[in-house]
Amino acid sequence: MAARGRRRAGLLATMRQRWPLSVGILTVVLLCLVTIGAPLLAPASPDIQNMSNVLKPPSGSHLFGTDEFGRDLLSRVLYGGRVTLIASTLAVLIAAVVGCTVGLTAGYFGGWYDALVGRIVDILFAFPVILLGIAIVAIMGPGVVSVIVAIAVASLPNFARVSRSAIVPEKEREYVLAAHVVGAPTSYIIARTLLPNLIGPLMVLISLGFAYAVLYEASLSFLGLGARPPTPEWGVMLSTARDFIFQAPWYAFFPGMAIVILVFSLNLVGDGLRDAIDPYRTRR
Amino acid sequence: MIGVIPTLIGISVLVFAINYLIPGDPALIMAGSEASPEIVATLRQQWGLDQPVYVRYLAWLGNMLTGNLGDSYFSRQTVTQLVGNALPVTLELAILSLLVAVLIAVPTGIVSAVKAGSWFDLAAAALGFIGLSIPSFWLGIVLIYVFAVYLQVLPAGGFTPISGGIGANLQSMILPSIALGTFASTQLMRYLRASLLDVLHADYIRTARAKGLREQTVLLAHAVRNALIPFTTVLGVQMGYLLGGTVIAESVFALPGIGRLVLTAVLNRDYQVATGIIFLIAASFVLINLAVDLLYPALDPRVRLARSGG
Repeated sequence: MAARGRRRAGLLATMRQRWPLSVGILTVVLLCLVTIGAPLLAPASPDIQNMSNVLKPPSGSHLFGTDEFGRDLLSRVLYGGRVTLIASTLAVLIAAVVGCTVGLTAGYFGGWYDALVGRIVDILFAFPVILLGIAIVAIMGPGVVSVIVAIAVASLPNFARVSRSAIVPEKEREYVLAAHVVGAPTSYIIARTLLPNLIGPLMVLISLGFAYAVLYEASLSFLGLGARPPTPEWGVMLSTARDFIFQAPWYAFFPGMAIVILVFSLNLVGDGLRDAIDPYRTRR
Repeated sequence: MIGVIPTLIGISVLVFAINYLIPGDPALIMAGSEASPEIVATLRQQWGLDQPVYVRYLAWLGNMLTGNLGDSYFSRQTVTQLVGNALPVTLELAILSLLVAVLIAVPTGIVSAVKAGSWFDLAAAALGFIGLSIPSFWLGIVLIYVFAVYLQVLPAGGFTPISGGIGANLQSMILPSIALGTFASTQLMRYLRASLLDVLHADYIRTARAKGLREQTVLLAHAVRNALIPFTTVLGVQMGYLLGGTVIAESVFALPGIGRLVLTAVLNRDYQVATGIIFLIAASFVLINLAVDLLYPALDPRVRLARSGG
């Protein structure tokens, strides 16, 4: 009993000490729940049009107002998070898996493969996502899939770099050589001996990658390259809202704030994790 | 430096691959779906579309290098013409945004580092963090609302060329530049602050102070100069961001620049324009990075000496 009590106090104390991290995590979880629970929480269907009720300001019956087809904006904002969250999750996961695989193998095997990968990663590293998105849309056509591919490709370099630099100092160590001598297959060596070093930085990269993905999913959809109307999606809604900025300024406010809050909390999580895993990081 | 050439070649292959992979037959598009197979075949032969891939690649590359980027399927202008009209707009936007970013980041970064831990530092860090989370297109929309709808002092969009008066030109460019530059400035400020903090604790700064130099001289002549070096790398990365960001800013503010050009080209399947511009952008991206790379020895004598083998 005493031992359990001590451990629980540890977690709460940590949460209170690292409060930006806690706030970030709670907000992200909250937003995810709200978005997933949209069918239950939304006051109306996001698709019902009502042409006698267009572009109305926030009111009792429509807390966020209505759009140009009379659809309830609150519902559309709630449903709108779904595409963004799903697309961003997929993009980050793909980037993490592919990027880490590439980075780990490049670091482990070295040679011309490493050099080639290094070059490509360097070029991709600072390459603007938007232009990548445009190029991919040129081939694959607009749509959420193209956006996912674009963001995944743009996020790869970070994962590749970090995993490569995690493996390079380790591969000459005795325990790796020992595993080799015993006859362990390379994949086993990499997985069991080197991956554990990676978990911490990986979590940081994934959170920050998520923030980046949400930001750019919305941006690419805003430009018309991703989700298309009438799908409720924050970027798409903002694109239309911009045209109605004079008549209905509230239209742009809510989807925008949703993006800001989500990205902000994801950044909090990423930064908080970064502080948490690296005890030697010079504090501000 | 010579390594740039394979990179450029690689990019050209990639872009040509995009061109090649694009679904749809250009001959069919040009002839129209009603045309007979003979006409389509003739068109195909005329445009060299029946040649093997590598011949088409070389022909395309040759065209690119001599400045012939093809024609737009939509407007009757050549890609070169369209680019020529749009480029000044985007260049002006990019330069002004960079200016805004630097003007915000440099003073804030320096003061934050010098007064590390003060309320200014914390406030700047917090604001920077928030700025990092705001999508630039939303910032643009908010700026439009505040300045064009509410205060009605600036236009909501559109571009006035310099020929229409510098004042009007700047008026149409202020909001887009701020929208773009703010995001870039948050990153720059962070890096400048971090690298300046590192520099300020270095030995040579202590020596300079011990020599009796005024704090201002120590700061400007020694600390900042050295902190600017990694700053330049970040600047290079930010340029990449700005290149992509111009597409967004031009969309929000209806500026007729390259970003909007390539965007509408892709969405309208005007592939000649789209791939031509993508190649241009990718190539200039590589060249800009090369330029930054060459700039290093000028800024940092250590790199200069190392490179010359000294």
